[in-house]
Amino acid sequence: MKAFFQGLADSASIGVGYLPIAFSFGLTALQAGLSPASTLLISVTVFAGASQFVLITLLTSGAGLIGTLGTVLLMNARHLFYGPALMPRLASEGRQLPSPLLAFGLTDEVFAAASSRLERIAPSSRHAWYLGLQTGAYLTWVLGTLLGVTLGKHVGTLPGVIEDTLSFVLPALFFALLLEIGVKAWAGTILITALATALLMMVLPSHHALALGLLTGAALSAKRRRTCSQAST
Amino acid sequence: MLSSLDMIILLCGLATFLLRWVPIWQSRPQKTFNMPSALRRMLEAIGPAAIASLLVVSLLPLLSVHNGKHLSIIAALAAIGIYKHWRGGIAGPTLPGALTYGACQYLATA
Repeated sequence: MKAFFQGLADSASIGVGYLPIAFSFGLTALQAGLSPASTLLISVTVFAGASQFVLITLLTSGAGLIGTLGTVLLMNARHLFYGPALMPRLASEGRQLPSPLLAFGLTDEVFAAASSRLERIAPSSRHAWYLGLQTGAYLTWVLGTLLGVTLGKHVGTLPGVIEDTLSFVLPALFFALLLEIGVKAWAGTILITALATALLMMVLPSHHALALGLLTGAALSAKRRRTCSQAST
Repeated sequence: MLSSLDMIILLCGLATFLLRWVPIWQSRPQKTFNMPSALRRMLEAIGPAAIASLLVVSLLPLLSVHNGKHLSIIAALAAIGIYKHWRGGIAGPTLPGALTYGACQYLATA
């Protein structure tokens, strides 16, 4: 139980980033003509930031089931790689969660936070800690959407300085996670991935550049580390 | 009774969940234990690679616009680095970083 609450507390950095984004999602969906119930249903069931914003456009433009589902699947395809990358670190001798529960909240930010911190959690507490982390992130996302659909029309637009501050919360979180995971230990991977992603962003939408960039970086890094380990033997 | 719109939303939710769950279900510990070493090395690198990629995707749109945000970004990243070195943690450095960025942008436009 203690590990669960530790995970919940560690989700605060994700929550600070999620709250304003989920709020603006709720507001945008209402302005686009979706009902508050449908907007909340998206956040409760899909729980995937960027694809939810695209979903608003698809649903309100009358795109059919196949087009909408295909787009969401393509946008979230990168999630295919998160589970297998996380499982070896989650394997523990303690109480284990059923796999559907491990999967539900596995967003980009939850994966990034778990990747950087799991090694520091006692093996027997990892499942409980991870459950706390994703529960905190999920509840903040749903709460932000709820605030967006209920208060959004009263708040209108936020002052520029607050919008600027909030717009930097996620980059700040990713940079802090990068420092947490160890820049020196992963310098090659980070550099290759950053360059690949930046180059891909010139020709692809950001969600595709993200997926292909991380795969390129991980694959080249694995090859490079194999060469290094062969050279040292 | 659910509308067709809500049915599409539910199917999108189910599809996203399956994208996350099926690979986990397929890579249970006993299977990952016997994984080829090249694949294991790649999966180990996916975490740092994902964080680097997410950072680039979130920062590049701010950097690519010629609106004087470069200095604010550098100041914010420096604030995160200093705080992280000083106190550690994740949430701690994130907040001063975002506040530094907001303050620099406010001063730049004042």
